Amino acid sequence: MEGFKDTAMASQNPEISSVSVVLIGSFNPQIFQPTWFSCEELIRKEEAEAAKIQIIHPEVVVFDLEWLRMEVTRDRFVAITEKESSFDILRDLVLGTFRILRHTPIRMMGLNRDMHFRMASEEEWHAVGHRLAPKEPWNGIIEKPGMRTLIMQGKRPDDFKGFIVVRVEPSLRVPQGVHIQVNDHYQIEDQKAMDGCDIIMGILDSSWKTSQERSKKIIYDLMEAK
Amino acid sequence: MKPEPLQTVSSPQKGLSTFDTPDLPLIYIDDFLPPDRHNVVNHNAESETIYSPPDDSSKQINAPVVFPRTPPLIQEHFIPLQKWEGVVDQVKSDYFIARLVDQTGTTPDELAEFMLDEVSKGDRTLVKPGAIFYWNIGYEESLGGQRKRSSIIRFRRLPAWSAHELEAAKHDADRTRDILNWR
Repeated sequence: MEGFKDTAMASQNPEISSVSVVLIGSFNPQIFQPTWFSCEELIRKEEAEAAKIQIIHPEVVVFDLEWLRMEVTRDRFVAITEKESSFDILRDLVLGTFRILRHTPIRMMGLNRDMHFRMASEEEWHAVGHRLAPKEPWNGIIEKPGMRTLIMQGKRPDDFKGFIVVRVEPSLRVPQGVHIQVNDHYQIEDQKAMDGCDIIMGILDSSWKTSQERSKKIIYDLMEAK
Repeated sequence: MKPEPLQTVSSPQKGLSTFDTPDLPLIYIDDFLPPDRHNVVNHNAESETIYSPPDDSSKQINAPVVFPRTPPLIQEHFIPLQKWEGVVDQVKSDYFIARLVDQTGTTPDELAEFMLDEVSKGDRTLVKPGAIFYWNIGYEESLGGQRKRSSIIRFRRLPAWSAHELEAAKHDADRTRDILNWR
């Protein structure tokens, strides 16, 4: 693990770094309002009062706090933060929420890590695409092939059901930037999900740190690969 | 070995993806176009002409929910320097003592004193022996590039364990003790 930390520290810092938890299951969006989180003492009262509500509707709720964006529909719960000092707070918020709503059926979970890197030069920016998607196989097939999105899927290195997907593409938010996303995907059998979300939340609690470190290592390894 | 099906990487409109940023990129990387996104043609329309096999037709697909694209979450970039997880040990009238565990693993555990004034008002009621908090030190950099040193203390908020959960934990502990034959 120390090797990973050294590698990470030797690398350039991402311009934007975020984590998100995406849950797939059955939700009642209207519950997920800032005042509810405040009443349950999952966020500060002041935060709830300052929340920027985008929409509250039986089908969808979207709101922002200073450090968090939450989007909930009937089948999808998304909590995301771009504030690195709040990464663990995000995990606690999700854990706390579904410790209260423990009978919510949840069958899939994505622990996602995103980073946007600004490349030092246009040549370096192009080199990422050349390295990850060589153009030789495309010669004579299409003109001027260019990498738009590269998605690779791998097996999980643990005993959980699911997979790991890595996506690399040009950043839409950082000029001359590269966006890398790791989707650490977990799923459980539908029948077990019907019993509630204790299993998925148990995975979140026990795997969070490992997942974060693994995703960070994947991203830095890709940025440093020659 | 047969690879796992890709179904959960499908677009979120089908409600199956655990990605959080489903948008297709609008630009290419490597040589095709300059990195100046203002000169880039939106190629998303092309994706509509790509054939995708239909999903199981017996399943009903709900109408998609399309989120409005909103501006970035935050306008300041945090550059972390050090991160600790703390456990409150003692609380005095205007300060508290905590044990700190370095999350970057570079220094041993240590004890530290914090003035209560350093804790946000909304978190003060959480300052009790045993409470867990996160302490981040770093730079906050504005969009204009101005850096300021930042120290952020935030207390963990988790609901209390229910009687049912405590009973289940006790049951698990008893079972483990029996397996180990530890009396």
